[in-house]
Amino acid sequence: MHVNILNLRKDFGATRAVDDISFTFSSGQIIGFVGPNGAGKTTTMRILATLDEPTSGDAKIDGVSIVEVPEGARRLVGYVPDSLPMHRDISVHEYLDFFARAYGLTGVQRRQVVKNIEAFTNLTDIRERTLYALSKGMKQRVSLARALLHDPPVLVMDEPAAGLDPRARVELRELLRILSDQGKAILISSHILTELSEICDSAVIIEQGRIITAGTLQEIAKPQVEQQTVLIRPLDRQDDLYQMLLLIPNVVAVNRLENQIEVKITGSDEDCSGLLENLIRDGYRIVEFKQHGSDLESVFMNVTKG
Amino acid sequence: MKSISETFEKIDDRLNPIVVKELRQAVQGRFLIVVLISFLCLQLLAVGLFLTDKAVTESFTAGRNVFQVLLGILLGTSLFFVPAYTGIRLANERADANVDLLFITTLRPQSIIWGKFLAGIVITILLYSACMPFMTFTYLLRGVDLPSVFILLALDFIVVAVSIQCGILIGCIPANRVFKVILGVGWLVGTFIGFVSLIAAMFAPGGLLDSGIGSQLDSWKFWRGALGVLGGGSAIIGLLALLSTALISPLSANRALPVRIFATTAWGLTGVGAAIWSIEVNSLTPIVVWATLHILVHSIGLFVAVSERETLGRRIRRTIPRNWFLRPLAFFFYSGDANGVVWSSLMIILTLLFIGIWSIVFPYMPTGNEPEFIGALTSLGLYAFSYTLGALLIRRRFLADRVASNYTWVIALILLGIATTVVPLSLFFLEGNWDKEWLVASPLGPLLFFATEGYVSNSIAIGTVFAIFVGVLSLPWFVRRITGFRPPTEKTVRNSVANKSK
Repeated sequence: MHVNILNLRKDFGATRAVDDISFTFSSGQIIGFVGPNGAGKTTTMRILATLDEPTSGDAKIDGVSIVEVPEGARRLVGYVPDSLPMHRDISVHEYLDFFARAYGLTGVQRRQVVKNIEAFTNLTDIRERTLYALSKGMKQRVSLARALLHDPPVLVMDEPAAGLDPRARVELRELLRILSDQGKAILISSHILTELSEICDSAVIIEQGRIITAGTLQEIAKPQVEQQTVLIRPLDRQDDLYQMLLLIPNVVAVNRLENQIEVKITGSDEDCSGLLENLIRDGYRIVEFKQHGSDLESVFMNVTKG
Repeated sequence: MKSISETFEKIDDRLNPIVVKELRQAVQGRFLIVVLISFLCLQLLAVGLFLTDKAVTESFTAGRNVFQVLLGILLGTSLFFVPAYTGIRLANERADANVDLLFITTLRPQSIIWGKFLAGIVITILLYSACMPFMTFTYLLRGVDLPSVFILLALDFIVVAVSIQCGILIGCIPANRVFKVILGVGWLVGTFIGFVSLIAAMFAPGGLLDSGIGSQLDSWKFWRGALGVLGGGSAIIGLLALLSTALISPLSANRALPVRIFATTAWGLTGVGAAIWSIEVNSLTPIVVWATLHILVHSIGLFVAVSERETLGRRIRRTIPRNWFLRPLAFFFYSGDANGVVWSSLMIILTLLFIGIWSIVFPYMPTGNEPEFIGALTSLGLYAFSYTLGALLIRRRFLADRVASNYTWVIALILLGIATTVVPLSLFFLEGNWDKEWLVASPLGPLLFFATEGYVSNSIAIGTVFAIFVGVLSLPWFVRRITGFRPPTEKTVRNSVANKSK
């Protein structure tokens, strides 16, 4: 299962919301879709879910075009929007049963599917509660359950972690990992970049409708970081280490923290490795040597203008 | 037992999911329960009050009196509560982004609308069922026959059904809260007028109940009227349902197709009906009534048409016929500003043409003011065309960056307002006296003063000049739209594929 997004463009009047976006992802992958507000993430996701029509370009889900065969494409996509179900007068089970009916499931099959999805998303115990009475985390699970009812091979999730408490975020992360292991291709947008970097294999960063950078997290982190920050915690001789670091040519700045030293150096991962090698060769006893600042968040801050 | 449960399961599977969801929500919500209990209490109270009055119970019309009160309560509750409940729920759902999720299921927009309608009908049946024991009681009290009870209940049911579909249409209109409240108040006033009129038609001296419905059951005249009400009600419900469906359909769909097919068919069928009626009563009046209705509808249609989309989406373009014969025909039935203007204008022209031909074929039919009124209708059509196309021209030429295409109707209304109020009032203050000629550039003038000699002909002359003027200025635009109405060419598709493979 491959999802190919090809030269996608969407105009709203004179405003170009999505501008010639192309990227690919496939089964078992979790792709982070990152960008500041108004970057075009939701528009792209709505186009993928066949809710909006692109001005030009196309997206093919396992070869099925969202422009030419939207009915076929929407059977392959489960869409989780950024808004959560809020009905006061419908229970979790009734809500899922309604959507199962809307997807054309009937009889025993419908009941079995709803039961299985409730069990998978851990909703069985709260299936009789009304949606309005649920916490955000629970509502998010209901939303995910709804998107999984027709067993789509592709999941498109718009800001699923927004507003969730840490426990709910961990639960969601676990569910996404299981779904990814089951072979689903998952596109997920989020503002919580640390969260995304923990679950995503790759990321696409967009701004003003254009892709700024894309690839695996390692790939997109590498070329962007001209200056790296390293945190070093020595067992002893902290003063000596501080003085010695100041003498190294590619070290830009050295800051003494409580029990560690923050070093800013220019160069690549090889330069970081070389620094550690020199410290050990010089007899410093290093407890912790941590490369800091090559995560998704710093890449995002580096590449976007905001 | 197993076969019974299997049958029920099959029925359950075939039910529209929207009906199931709506009814589940209705019975779990407090609102319906409160209304139902209040309704029962009110009926119980009404019957109780009648029974405690000895003079009433001894009367031979006791059943009839109680029936009138009970039917009034039932009609009031059904006519105001059910459509409002259905419409408000739909409007709230439309405001919620989650409604989009329905469009990525296998549900079609028409299933959503019919599901909402059926749910409203089931709630109405629930209210009717709650009323039934009391209605039976009225028969036992004497003074009312069973056919009257059933026929009047059926008549009310049709009116309530139309009102439910009206509520759904208002709920579907994409507007802000203030505009929806204004529409809601309009609906409330309209419903109140409908309620009072219906009550008067049923219970006033000489009304339906007075005339003894039971004795008319074997007359063709009665059944013709009954079938007319049923057919008319069904046609209105169908039209409102199609309009509602068009409003909630995604932009990428050809929203105009079902509405225009329905309106064209209704035009033809009602035209045939009016023609038969006209021959039967030997009068031009039925044809004039038919024409008035259609010219009004299509004049309003022009305001909608100029506010339609300017370009067709790729999904719609793919469905444009490649066949050279079918494509020009399809042009009339596709969404789009030019398509809508051409279709509505054609319907107005055909309607006027029909009256013209009819007058030639049956010149002996006695006429009163009909020829002048037909002239007024002609000016109405000309003005509707001129003002709407003029508005489109102004928006395209001068306001393209400031006013979105879906607000062109507002410019048309402003132009119409200037012609109807600003110009006559300015002249009134300048001249110090009133002259009806000042309304000659407004569609209102010929409709009000069609009996005045020469007024309509002046109005037609001004309207024709105005229509030719905006028509000529818009001609290049029409040509562009007509020549651009074609499916994506093979070359475009090939280029698109080539771009993608790069």
